[in-house]
Amino acid sequence: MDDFSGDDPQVPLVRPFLEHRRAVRPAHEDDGEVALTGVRAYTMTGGRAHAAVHLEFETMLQTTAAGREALTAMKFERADILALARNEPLSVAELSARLHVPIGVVRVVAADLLAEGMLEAFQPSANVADDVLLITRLIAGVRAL
Amino acid sequence: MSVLSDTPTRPVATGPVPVKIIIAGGFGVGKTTFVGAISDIKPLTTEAAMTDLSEGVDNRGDVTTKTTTTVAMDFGRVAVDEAIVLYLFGTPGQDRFGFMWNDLIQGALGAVVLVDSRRIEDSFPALDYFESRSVPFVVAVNRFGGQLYHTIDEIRDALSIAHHVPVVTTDARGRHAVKETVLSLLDVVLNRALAKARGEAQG
Repeated sequence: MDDFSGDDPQVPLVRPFLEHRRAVRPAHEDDGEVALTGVRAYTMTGGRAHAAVHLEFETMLQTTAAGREALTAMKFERADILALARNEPLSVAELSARLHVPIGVVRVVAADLLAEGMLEAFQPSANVADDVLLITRLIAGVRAL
Repeated sequence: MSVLSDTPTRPVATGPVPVKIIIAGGFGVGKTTFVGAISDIKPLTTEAAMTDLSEGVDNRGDVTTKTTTTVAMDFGRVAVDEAIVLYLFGTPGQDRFGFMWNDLIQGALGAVVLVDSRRIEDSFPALDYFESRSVPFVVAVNRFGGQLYHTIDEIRDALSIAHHVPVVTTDARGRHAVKETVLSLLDVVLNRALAKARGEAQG
């Protein structure tokens, strides 16, 4: 396996070169816009860093009837999430992006709303990598796009 | 407390089924363009705190040295059929962020590692990460609509890509090319799932 067949630094033949640290660049490339809410993340979550229910980045959330009813009495991120997810299910990542708050904040606040019955969650399939039926459907769907 | 607090939080059969794949690669290789070429929505940007746990700490069980980095990532969404919603997450692939991705990779079907043929070394961290965790992936060399600076075979050799891993060319700006690249990944994912199912049937 370890075939160190060349010393030319221009043509690296063997990975990894991880001990060779490269300069850390900005984390994403296309837009330099950074959302600044001016509020510490732990303020939004009442000081908690962990959610009762684990929500993945792609877990989709939709406001329930109870959530719609309670919406007017809600404030801040709780209200924002319920309002955004009122008409269509949106993922944790989408809620985070649209509200300009970190993923972790959405996770904690949404987990509370979920526990209170204000949100419904659509979690990804547990063993998606083994789910032949789902993968087959996915392939057919992507092919037809 | 709501009277509906007993409402099940498990997914219901009729709801959407989210799945995700990862689009990784070096800075400026075209990850966001790739995502945007197939996404139903203009790619969105989100921030996540990625925790870097020093390797081996879990095994020793002693003092953990944690550093948390806020990482921005761009992602898109494709409604694949009436139920399946495919999310494509473009991950920052620089430097040593690689092993901070665990949270994102959790539950991902697989990854597309985008390569710029002029700077193939930028893809090393992503390749090492997915190989070491047995995440299915394909290597996609972004043509940027032009020529390749090396042949696919040269790139495969230079990156030490195993024979079972497809190395394809793509054009991150082209919907068709991006679709084909995603399909090449899904073929790998399907073959792995089928092989595992056969193995379990025999065992």
